[in-house]
Amino acid sequence: MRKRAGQVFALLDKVIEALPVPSTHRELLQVQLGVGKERAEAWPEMSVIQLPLLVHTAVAGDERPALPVAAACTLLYLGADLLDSTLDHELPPSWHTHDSAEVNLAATTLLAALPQLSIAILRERGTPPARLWALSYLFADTVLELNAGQHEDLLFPNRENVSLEDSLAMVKRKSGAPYALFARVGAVLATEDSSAIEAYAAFGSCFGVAKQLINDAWDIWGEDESQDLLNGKRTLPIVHALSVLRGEQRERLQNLLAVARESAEHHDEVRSRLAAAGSVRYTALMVWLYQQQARRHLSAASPQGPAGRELRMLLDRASLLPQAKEARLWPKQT
Amino acid sequence: MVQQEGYERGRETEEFRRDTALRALGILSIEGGQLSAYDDQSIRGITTALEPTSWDYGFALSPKEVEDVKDFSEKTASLSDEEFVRHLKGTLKIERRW
Repeated sequence: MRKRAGQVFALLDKVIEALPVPSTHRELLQVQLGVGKERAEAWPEMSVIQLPLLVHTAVAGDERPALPVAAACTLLYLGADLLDSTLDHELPPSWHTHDSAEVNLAATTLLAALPQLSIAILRERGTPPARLWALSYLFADTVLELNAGQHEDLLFPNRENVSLEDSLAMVKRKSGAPYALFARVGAVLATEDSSAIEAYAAFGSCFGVAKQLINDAWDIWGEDESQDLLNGKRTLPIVHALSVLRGEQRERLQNLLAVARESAEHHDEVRSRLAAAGSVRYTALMVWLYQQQARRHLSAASPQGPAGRELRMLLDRASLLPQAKEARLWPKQT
Repeated sequence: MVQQEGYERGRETEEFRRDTALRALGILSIEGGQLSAYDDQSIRGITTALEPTSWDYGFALSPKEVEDVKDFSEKTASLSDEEFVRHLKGTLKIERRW
């Protein structure tokens, strides 16, 4: 997995080095590229890199032709990550010397321009124009859905009632859509079998939702200070508690959520009340449901060889259950 | 796009009340069966007979989801909420989200 990450970032170095832009703009993009490299070093399983390459290999037996689309996915990821870090006030230290206008410019270039330029590499390698256009359209469509999801995520803290369905639909747009893209583009490049392509995309979407819900639970219970509570986010565990609690209990939680935005002092009390409302177990259940759906879609796609095994292994890790509790991981085939 | 079982049904027809189903599962997830705090007959029914109750009330859970929920309940019956939290805090490794 580390080798794949190295290959993708080597290609990205070339793409950014060859851009016909002043060195100042290139250097700006390289800041975020550096953030991505550090992250891949710490977490080589990065889905944005592994999914397109593994899916392509699982279908066609070779990952090399998919390197440009994996690079395009990584550029989209880096742009979306930069945008999200800005919105959530979580910019990594390497951005602290840049002002917000520069950050926005870098995010726009990474999201809107560079994925297309990376896909253009495929033209030189003989990919037919119709397939290039299909790939390009998929990236545009995903950015649209991803940004719509991010916008909802921003608006939810100011809405009186956010339902569980609203919350899951937002997660599906924000995280399901890009993961669907990562899996889909690997398949689109490898086959014309539309049922296989759709199965991989559906697998990616469910996998992405499961991973986002794990992140949401981890933000609350896995860290001493919850960035989501400080940002007033309405993630699924919080929406769950507000949906099931009534009367005084609900009012108390709402008041606590308001003060939790000011400092981490009350985060432990919020955690306790969420756990008492069953929110951690509920989130684990939703992760489980999406993980099981992803397994069925992946089984339908029939990924072959070692790449297929790696895809299953990545999915096995998308769980909030201690591993011993997952004796039967894969659903029965129907 | 492939339709994801169950999750898309609420949008296709008003007959299915997806959010009610999700909320019912949410209440079920409260440890220790503190259902007395909730006077929702459908939710009481779902604890004793998940499948017929869910369909009687038009809950949008597909048969496979019902099976998955049962599977999850079996696997986690002996797990306390504290064990879930310990797993999150101690052993779970996560990929940076956006």
